Amino acid sequence: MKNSTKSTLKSVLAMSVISVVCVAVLAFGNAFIPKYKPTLDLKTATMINELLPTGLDAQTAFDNGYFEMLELDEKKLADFNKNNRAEPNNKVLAVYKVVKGDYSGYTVVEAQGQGYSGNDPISLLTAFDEGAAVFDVKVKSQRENSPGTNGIFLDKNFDNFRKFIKGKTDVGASDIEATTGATSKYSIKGVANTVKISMQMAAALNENGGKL
Amino acid sequence: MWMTIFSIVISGLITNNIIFSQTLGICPFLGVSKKLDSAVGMGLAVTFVIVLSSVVCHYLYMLLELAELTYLQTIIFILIIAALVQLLDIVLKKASPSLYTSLGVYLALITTNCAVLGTANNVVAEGYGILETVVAGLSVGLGFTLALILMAGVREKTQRAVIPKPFQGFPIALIIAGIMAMAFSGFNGLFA
Amino acid sequence: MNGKTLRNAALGGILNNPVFVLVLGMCPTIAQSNSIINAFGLGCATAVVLVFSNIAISLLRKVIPDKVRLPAYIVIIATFVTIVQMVISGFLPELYASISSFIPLIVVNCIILGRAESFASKNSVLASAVDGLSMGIGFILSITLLGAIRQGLGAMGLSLFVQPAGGFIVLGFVMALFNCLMGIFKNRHKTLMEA
Repeated sequence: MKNSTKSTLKSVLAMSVISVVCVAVLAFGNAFIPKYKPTLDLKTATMINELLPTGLDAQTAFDNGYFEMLELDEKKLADFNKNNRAEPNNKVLAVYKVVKGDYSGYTVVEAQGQGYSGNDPISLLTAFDEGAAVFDVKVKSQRENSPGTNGIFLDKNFDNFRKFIKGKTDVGASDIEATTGATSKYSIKGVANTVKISMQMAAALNENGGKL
Repeated sequence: MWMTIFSIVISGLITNNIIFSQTLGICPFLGVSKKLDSAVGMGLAVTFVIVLSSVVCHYLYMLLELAELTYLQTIIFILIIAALVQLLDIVLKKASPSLYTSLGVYLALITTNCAVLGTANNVVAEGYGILETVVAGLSVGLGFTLALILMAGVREKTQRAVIPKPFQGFPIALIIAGIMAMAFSGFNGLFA
Repeated sequence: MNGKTLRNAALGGILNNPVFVLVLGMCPTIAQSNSIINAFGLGCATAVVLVFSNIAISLLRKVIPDKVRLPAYIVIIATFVTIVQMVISGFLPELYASISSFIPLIVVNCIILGRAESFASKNSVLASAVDGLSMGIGFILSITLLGAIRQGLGAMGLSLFVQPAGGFIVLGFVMALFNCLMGIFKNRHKTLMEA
């Protein structure tokens, strides 16, 4: 009896020590491993320059500070994503602002969506005018071979989608399906969710004067 | 509300089937699908653990979020699952010794069944409420059971078929599963 | 240090290939082998966890009481998995976006717990590290091979092969091929196998 109590005690003690050490390691990791933050890099600036042409080449516009990244409160952004997402991978990643040139005051929202668990997310850059209506959309990244994504990003489909979405402030998946004529249901859902959450972000920023 | 519940059920059972669409829980799927009765037993045991662990993890995650300790998610969830499986082990040993012996080693393996942890993670990520969590857990578990039963039915037949030697065992089982997954993918988009 | 144990550990990744022979870790193998980059990324993450957990468990093998062996292993493995998750999400956000839901599931990858239980808990730190590395490389090679086949077939327009159904089928055929080759190899090198 005494022996078994002793061995139980030993087990509990060993388990507690291991757990405490592991939690400490994780807390240390959480505090010191840097977290990813999207930044305004040349690649993104080039895309923004194509969406909202400054008339300069991307490098010059980038160097002369034509675009800026909006500093969003991390906690508020997380809450916004949680309240507005249509599926777990659906979220706004960053917001950029054009500060010089013809399109000064326009906003570009970088967001991602998926629509179907198991697929790679699609991320889009959506440009908005000063009234938070869509000006243009561009695919930032998309894995070519993702199941279900074949079809919608054929040039014609995407061009139809761009024409359809211009000037809109709200969007539904079925509308996109009708206009693009694409056959793949899941990617449409992903694109619709992405544009939708971008629209909500643009509207929220517009209402609160550029803050969340 | 009822639409959401309905779509969760259809998604868990068929369109997003844990085996054929999410490809989680393949090890027990291949291991326990040789006989029909052990397939049913295993399926129900897994369903029980999935529902219980999803509910517990749902509440624990709320606490973790409050305390801003979400990085402990993996470690806490897996410990909860291990504890629940241990509990099931004790209960089954007393309540149904015959089922206990037929499930054998696979009972302990429910801990490392990624369907359980995968569902807990999904439920938390989707931000489901408690009712949706229970329904999601139940339908994912029953979807798993359905896959196991279908597979056992086919495999009982393949035991009498002549199969080239390199394909015997797991390879043929995987190919059968692939064909079933093709059939299941036909339901995609049925209830968007 | 036993030379034979070490040699067997080093060859384990091929002769006892975790995917094709031991049939472990099926879920990530099928789910994440839809492209080379996803397959390689998840393979590497798994291998890193495998090496570190093997080392840690081997170091602690005399300290951990037998009764709480499994929960202790799980906690240790989960810690490494979370660290790997933090590192990937911090430094490789694009890869993280496509494999994020499968990283936490490395905890329940039976390869890792299987090696902890059957190898690291009984062998020295060096042998366990070698075993982890060899098994890890075996896993990376297998999952990347599947990824290459599936992405290749998918690029030819056979989109079935990048879907889960294709994963099952390709894995089934590759496993059968591996069985075939191993049969021939074992016949030719009986002495090596028996050594």
